[in-house]
Amino acid sequence: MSALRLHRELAEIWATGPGWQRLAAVNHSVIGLRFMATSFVFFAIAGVLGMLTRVQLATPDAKFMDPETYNQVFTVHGSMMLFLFAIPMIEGLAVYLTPKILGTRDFAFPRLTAYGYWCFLFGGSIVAISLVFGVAPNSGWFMYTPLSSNVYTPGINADVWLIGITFVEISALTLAVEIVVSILKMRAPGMSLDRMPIFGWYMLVTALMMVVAFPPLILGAILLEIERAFGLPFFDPRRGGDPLLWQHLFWLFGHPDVYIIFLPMAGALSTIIPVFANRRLVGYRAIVVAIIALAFVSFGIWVHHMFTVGIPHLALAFFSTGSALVAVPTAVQIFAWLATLAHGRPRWDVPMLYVFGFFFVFVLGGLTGVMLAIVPFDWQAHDSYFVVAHMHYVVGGALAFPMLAAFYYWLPLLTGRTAVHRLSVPAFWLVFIGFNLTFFMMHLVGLLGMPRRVYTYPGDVGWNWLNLLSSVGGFIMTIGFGLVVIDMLTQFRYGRRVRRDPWRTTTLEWAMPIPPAPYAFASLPHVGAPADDIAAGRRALSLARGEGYLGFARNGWQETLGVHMTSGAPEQLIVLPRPTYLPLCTALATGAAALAMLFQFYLLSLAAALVTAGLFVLAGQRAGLVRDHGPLPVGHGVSLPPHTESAGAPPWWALIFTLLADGTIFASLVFGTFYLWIAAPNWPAAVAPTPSLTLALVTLAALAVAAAAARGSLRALVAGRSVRGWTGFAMLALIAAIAGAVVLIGGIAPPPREHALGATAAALLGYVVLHAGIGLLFLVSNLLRLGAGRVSARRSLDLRLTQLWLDYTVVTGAIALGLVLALPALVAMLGARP
Amino acid sequence: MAGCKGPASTLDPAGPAAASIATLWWVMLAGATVLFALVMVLFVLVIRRPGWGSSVSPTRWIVLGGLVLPALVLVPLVAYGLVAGERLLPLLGSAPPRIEAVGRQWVWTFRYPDHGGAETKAVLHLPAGAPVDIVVTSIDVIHAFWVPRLAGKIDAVPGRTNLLRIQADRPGRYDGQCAEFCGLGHTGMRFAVIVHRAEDFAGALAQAAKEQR
Amino acid sequence: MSPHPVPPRRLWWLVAGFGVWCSALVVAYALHAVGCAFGWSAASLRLVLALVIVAHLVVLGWMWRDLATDRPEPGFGPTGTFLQTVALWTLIAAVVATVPMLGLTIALTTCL
Repeated sequence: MSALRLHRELAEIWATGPGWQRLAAVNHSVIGLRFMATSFVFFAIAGVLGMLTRVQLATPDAKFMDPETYNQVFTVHGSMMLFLFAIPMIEGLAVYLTPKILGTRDFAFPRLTAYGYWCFLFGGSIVAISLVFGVAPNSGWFMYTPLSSNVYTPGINADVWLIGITFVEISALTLAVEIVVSILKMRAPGMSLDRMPIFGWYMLVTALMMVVAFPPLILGAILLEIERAFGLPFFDPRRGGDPLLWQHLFWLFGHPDVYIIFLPMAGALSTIIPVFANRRLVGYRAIVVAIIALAFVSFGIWVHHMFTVGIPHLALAFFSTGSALVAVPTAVQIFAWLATLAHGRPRWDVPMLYVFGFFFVFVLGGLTGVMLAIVPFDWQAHDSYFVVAHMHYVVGGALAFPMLAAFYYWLPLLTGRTAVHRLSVPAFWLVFIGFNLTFFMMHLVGLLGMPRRVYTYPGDVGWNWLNLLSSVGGFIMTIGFGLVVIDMLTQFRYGRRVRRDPWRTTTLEWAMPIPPAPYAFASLPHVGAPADDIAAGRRALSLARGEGYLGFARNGWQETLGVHMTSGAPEQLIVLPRPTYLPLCTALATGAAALAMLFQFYLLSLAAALVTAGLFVLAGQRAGLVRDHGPLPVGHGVSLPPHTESAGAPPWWALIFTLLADGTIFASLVFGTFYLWIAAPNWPAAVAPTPSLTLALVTLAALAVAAAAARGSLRALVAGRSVRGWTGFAMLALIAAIAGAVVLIGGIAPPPREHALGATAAALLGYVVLHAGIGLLFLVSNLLRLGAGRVSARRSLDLRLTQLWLDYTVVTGAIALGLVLALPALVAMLGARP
Repeated sequence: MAGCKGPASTLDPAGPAAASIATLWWVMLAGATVLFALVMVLFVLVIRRPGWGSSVSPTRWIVLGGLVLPALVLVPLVAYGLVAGERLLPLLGSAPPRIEAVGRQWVWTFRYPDHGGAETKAVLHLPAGAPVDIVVTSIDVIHAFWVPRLAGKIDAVPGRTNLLRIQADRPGRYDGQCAEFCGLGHTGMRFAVIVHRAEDFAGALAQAAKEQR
Repeated sequence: MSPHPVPPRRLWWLVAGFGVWCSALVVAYALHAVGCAFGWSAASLRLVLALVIVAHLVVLGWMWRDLATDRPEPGFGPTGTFLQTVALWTLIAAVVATVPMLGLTIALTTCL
């Protein structure tokens, strides 16, 4: 078949329609670009806000902004940069590039990608629009309680943050699960884990970190919003809550977040540097070990943001030592890159200019990071401008410079042209000089005693010149970024044309026509050697002619391959869903729930949440195939079953990683309960808890019955018997469990609004109710899909997913109910304290 | 180092705690400068002199730069930091006089239990030359007590009390401020620290407390 | 594509070493908080922490033996060797992270 005819056939299947149909897009290239473009818009807004703070601080006693405006401006600057720019930007890069680098046609759950994008857009817009109405968040980007509680921030400002940002985080979590599953299950045939380009390892580790890092903050935000809206005192010290619990939950997310931002960019650097060094990356295995170590250690040092809250020195020492240790895996990567350059024949081009910027800025930020890890120094520098300088060096070095290197490196893939040097080089120097002038001065002014987050300062403390220089630097940097944008836009029109592979690269994303088609690869490559050592340009033509796997169009299906996790041997034919408005509608319903919550229409919010759940069930109805197909040919003489008939289909793994995230939320809740018990003031409560043992056991038994019934229905399906009876039985058991838990919540003593003891018990039981309720949705979906013929003995995935969910619900239910039952004993122990 | 002077400068210490941390800073600055220069020189050399570093094997690059170098730097630094931190703790063996500092949006109140419960607002009076334990708490949101020329900061957390041991070597006036963002009036939540000669302290405090009442 | 692909469950080895490190940190930090809250003496608190750390190091050592003596099955091919090497080094890194972070710090003042 000719390359052109194959292109036409595949493009017809994979393309996103014109006009309004763009809203139905689910393709990874389209969504990835939208993610990056939208996050860049938020970057611009947040950048302008940053400039406003620099205008205000350029001179002492300035009247440019009043304190309320200033507080909103710096809060949104920080929140937007981290939650609406940094995270979505790396997600966009991951969505756009990962499938191409790993040699597959799309991600595993295209509709979920689209849903994630819309959630990000709507959540981010809520935050951005609040600024226009002057009700933007104003408690600082880490929202410390009790300042962010409804006593000290009575308006909707804090709610905007809690609801808008949580909305965005849920989108990040869905994408993280999707990235993990796609990397593990969807690679080019033959790409075993040891042949996977290092970028894949970086993204895999990052996405796994996101799966575990976001849940504590999501839980914290939910608890704080419950406290604000319904008065359950999780963080209020007068009623047995503890403001420091918020700090723990926030930084359990907040510290790993720095590495979540850094690792994908380090992955980009590890891809770019070898190309410009004309040599394969040095130390592939060392880097894999380093990033696994980094991922873990970065979680173990969250307390270094809390060195001044009064934690004993011995405990601080754990985290101080850990924070110093984290420099080691980072140094391994830095020296692996240096070694790659030393053993190669480096050539110089615009991306390398930004690599230089990265080295300069990131190493400085890392060094001040080690300084801040030393406890006594942190006591002085904490919450001063020294920290502001440090974090901008780290994030600028980890994100801004590598991101621009990545843009200049990968933009030709999109534009078919290379950058205009006359503009790129001065733009770099303006960004570089401006950046260093702005933020280097902040180290000094911090050491001279300037605390962060002050809206102005007196003229006689010696901070005037440094602040003025910072502000001047800020403007130079802004001009630089403006030039970068102009340069990129110019490239689309005036850049030097290239046909394919302008950099003589070694990874698969260049083994395709420029710009990439929606199906990415006309046929999937076979990878028989390390996949970061492929002469990409030479592979492109044969793949375009359909000489790899799946080099044909069939049934109008969007087909790609699922592989064995470790070996990369092809094992299933994955049929992906076509464009649909469903993600947009679901995100709109989710957005309606969030907005109704924000304006305190709680019933409306609940209704919209139920509509969202219904749309998810509806989305399930369209998934999969309506009949058994058996093995189908995929090319090269290989025949594979469709994913619906495969044991390790992507949804199975997605649920496992979703439960990992969910389990982290649950673990955080259990941690919160114990933390309040041991550390919060005003414990024990005046009223002793008296949970009903009988009711708790009945509830647990009902959950166990539901899980057993789910097992029964799976067995019945495989044996060819009817499963409706079992499903109905499971539903009844779940309803009984929900009723039991609700009655338990009603009888909690002390009442949840009066003391944190009751509030945590309510949260634990609420968790059980929520999971039993979602279990009901699974069962409803099963009944509908059974009726539509989408489930069979060979296509039993739905029932296996249900079983997994209900098993999880029993286990967490047992722990939650057990903890609630143990509360009286725990309270009694407190009484025995000296 | 004239540039380091200032009423709130951590590098212009006026007490043993701030002095010890300032020394720590100068040591770390020297070390960081050397390391930064090392990495940047290596970067420029490997780019500008192709083949320059190829005599050292890739593994050796990673082991020397990624493992040996950090170990040589970090082990002594962390040990130094922990010992220095230990010396700054308000250890229970000695029990210097206590002064209570209570944060409230947006003013500091200082109480002197050893002086008949005298109270001053926005001005902290201290005797020179002797350690004092500041008992820090808050009655609303989180604040932080910070006198950069005397010591590091400690948070004022509602529902908890934290202890900070400080000592001013010489009489004089020093700037103090709230270091944890605490809302609309955060910027204005400053206070002055007036250090008196030990023999003048009681009288000066009584005078100041009377004036404020 | 070797005839015997490495079973996916072997991937757990990549996170096992640092999983133990995580457990050591969480247990030590929690017990330290409990000890201070319930007024344990400094000596008994240090003893408990030391026991926690030693127990975790024993587990790491046992895992090391299990992994290092168990040569990668030849059927697993280069992928098996690769995963084995990476798992082994994460284990070493986990031990190296545990000792200074939790081992040497317990001599400090306990509850202040």
